[in-house]
Amino acid sequence: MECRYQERFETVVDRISTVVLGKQPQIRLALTCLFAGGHLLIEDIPGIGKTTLASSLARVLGLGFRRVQFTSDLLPGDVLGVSVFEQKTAAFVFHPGPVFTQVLLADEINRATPKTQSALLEAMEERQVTVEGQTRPLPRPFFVIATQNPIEQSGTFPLPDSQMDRFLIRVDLGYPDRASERFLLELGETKSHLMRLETLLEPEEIGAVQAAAARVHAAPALVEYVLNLLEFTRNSPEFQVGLSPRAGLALLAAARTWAFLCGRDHALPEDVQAVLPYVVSHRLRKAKDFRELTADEAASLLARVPLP
Amino acid sequence: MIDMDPSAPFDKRPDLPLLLAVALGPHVTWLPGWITVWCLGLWGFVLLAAHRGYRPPGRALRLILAGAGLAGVGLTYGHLRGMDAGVSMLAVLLGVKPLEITNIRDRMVTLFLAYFLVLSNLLEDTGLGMTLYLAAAVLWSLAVMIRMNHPDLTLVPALKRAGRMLVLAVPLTAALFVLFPRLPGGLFRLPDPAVRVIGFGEVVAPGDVGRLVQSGETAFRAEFEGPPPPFETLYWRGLVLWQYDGRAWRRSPVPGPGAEPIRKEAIHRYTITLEPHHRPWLFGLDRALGPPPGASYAGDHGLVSARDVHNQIRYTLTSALEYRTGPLKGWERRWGLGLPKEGNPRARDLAASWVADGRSPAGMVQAALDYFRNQPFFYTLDPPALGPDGVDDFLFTVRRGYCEHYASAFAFLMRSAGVPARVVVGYLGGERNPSGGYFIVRQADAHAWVEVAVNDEGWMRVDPTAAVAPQRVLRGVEAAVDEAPWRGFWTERRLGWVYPYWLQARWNWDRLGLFWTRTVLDYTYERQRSWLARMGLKTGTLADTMKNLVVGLAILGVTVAALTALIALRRRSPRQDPVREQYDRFARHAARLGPARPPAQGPRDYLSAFSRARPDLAPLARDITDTYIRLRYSPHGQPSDRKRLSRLVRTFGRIRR
Repeated sequence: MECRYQERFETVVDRISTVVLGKQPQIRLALTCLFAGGHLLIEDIPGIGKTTLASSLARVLGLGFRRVQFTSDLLPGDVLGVSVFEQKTAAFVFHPGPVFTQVLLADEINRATPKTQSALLEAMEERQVTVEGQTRPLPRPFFVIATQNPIEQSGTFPLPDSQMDRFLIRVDLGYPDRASERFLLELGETKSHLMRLETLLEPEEIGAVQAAAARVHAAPALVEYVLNLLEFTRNSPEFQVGLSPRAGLALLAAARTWAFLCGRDHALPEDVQAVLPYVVSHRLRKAKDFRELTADEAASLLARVPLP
Repeated sequence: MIDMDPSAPFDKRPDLPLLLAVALGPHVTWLPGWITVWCLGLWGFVLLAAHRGYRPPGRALRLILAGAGLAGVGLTYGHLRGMDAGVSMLAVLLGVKPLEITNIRDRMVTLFLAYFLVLSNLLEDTGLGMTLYLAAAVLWSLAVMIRMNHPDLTLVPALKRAGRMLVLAVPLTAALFVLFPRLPGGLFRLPDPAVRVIGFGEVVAPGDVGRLVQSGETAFRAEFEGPPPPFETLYWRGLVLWQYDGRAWRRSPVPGPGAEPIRKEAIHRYTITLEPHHRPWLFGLDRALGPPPGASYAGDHGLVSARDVHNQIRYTLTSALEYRTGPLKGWERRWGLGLPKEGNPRARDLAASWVADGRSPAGMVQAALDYFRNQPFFYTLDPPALGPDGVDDFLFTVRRGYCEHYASAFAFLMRSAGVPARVVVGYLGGERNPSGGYFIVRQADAHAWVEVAVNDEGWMRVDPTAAVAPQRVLRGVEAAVDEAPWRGFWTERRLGWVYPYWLQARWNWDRLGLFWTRTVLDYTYERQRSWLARMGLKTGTLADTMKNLVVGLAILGVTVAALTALIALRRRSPRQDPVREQYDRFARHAARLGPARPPAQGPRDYLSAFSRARPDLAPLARDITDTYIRLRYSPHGQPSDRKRLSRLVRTFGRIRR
């Protein structure tokens, strides 16, 4: 569905697209994900602009940004932080890890061992970190952008289904189109542009936007529609497992945020349809070959569920 | 919508006057001409007045008009009894009625009276063509009634709705048709003082048959069980004429019943569908072996129905084409020789000369036939008039005439020569309808022949016309004369290459009409009883019949209710809220005007798809969609939005392409 965000969010999208060229839909979805209070999974090959997207988001929204390159020898402490014995004070002092930020780019998360993966995922879910018996809250907002190489690549530890479910939205960034790429090549690099991006939203505003998006009206007819969609995935023989209730909550939350960013105080079936492919594709597996769906395949189920 | 102002101008719409004209239509053929003029004139005035904005005439003028119309009917008929006068009265009063229509009640009254006028057409004609016409008239009147109650509805949707109502009424009609108790003898048997008689009367004077032959009207249709007999043996026997008064032949009431023939061969069984001719005689192939139910079999083997035939009737007969009736009874011989005392001396002389020659009775028959064959006799439908001694004139000077003249002269000669003879009138031949394989016998096939008794074997048929114009007997009347007047305009010469198609179409239509008669009109009291008995239903008493009717209607009602509920459930499940229903109505109509809405498409997406295809309707569609979204998806829907939505959807529903 064609969508224009309300003015100030449209500005955000515009600014970020001066750095991440030709990726407006993904930028919109990333914003939706952030304002819905979820985390984003980008599944793509390296060098496609994932880091630039994450850092430009952080800059434009005035958020702190950290990046962690996941490798197979990365330990949970490398992400969460460690307590180190300080000679001077003769006490253990906690050195916070990179997770203590507002926008965290977890690059190539599937290269790390499951232990490290789950340490991060726990932080994502709980929005707090417990190290050595002490629980420390993470800054607000806390937004993880994880990237993942396609499964075919060797030396990876694919995320289990239960952890995939923690990501609200999954997008493929994909190659830029020819015009955008030409522009990129002529530009040479985007670093300096990134540095020039000014902050458009205050951190407190982000909390207010998240609260307002959660208040968007979801009418009984709309809830009915979401229920129909969930039921369809559960009854249809083409899926190995249907969508979980958590997926239903995620879908509704994303639809609400999308509606809010479009400037409405109520969600429409079109909002659900706009976000559904990216909310459910990583949560469904085809019964035939046990693969995850692509966004297009997920979109095709929309045509088969009539509006109530 | 309903105007109660007594001096309001006329309704501008021509619905009612047109309906009245449609109802009157078939009556025009027989109603006195002035009634047609009266009705059309008054209705035309009403239409004109509506457009010019004239005020309706006052009560006094209307009363005078009604009185004048009734007086006219009384003067025309001399009485106000019977069907024709009744229908005329109805028509005359309906002519005046539109002058005083001021409110919807008047319109409804007029409409119901129009139904009576429509129905009264069945008193005249129950054929298929009329039935189809009346079905169309009923459809039109339903549409008129619908438009009375929905004044903003245009004609085509009103007709569509009326059609749906008629179709829905078909099962009930069929059930009532099958189950409703039928009256023995039929309902529409209303003898009328001024009946229009077609066919043979009690008396056949020279020229009577000739007049009949001018008519292309169907007398009856005959369907044979098994192969039909050869054409030249198709003598459809009607009346036997015994008395000759010097000019005309006359039927006599004969003591019955007729005796069984002593020898009978070449037996055929067939069913006759007789058109109403308002006389009691029935026709059968010479010679019928017994009467059909409800008729008697006279001593001269004439078939006479208990009642005059005012409606189409069907009966089945068995006939033997070869028969001997045995020796004559005393009264037969006496009656078969009766002649006036005087007149026609030359014919008497001719017969006397045969007697003097000592010829046998058979010889005398041969002599008479030879006389016709050898003298220059000529078969024509247009013979000159005959003088007081008609037989003499015909035999010796004019020598031009048709079957009736030959039969009359031949019978006179035989009686003069002492051979018992009688004239028989009926039909000869008929047109075989290749589509259906039955015979259509028309008035044009009317014929007269003679029966003589030459020995103890009894009456035998002699057709003197065959001696003069054998082709009349062999191939029908059309072969015997140059021009067939009953064909009217539709002759082969005028139609050219269209003629075969026209003929085929006429045959097919005739067959369809016969089918209609056989299946619908012939569903009589007896048929109903036997049919219901076969279905295992008792019909002995009225109570039984009523029980069948009630049970049948109850079954029908339950079935219809169940079907309706099923359809409603299928359409409504799961139960929808009224807002959604309104939107669906919008989407259904929008699909007629532009792209259809896929069931999974959201309202905004559909709006943009529809607006792209129909930018002219975009504002209204946007208004509807916004209101719908407000009511269904947003927290701001107001009760007033519901009214607004249904009003908008109604407005949208009236848009045509």
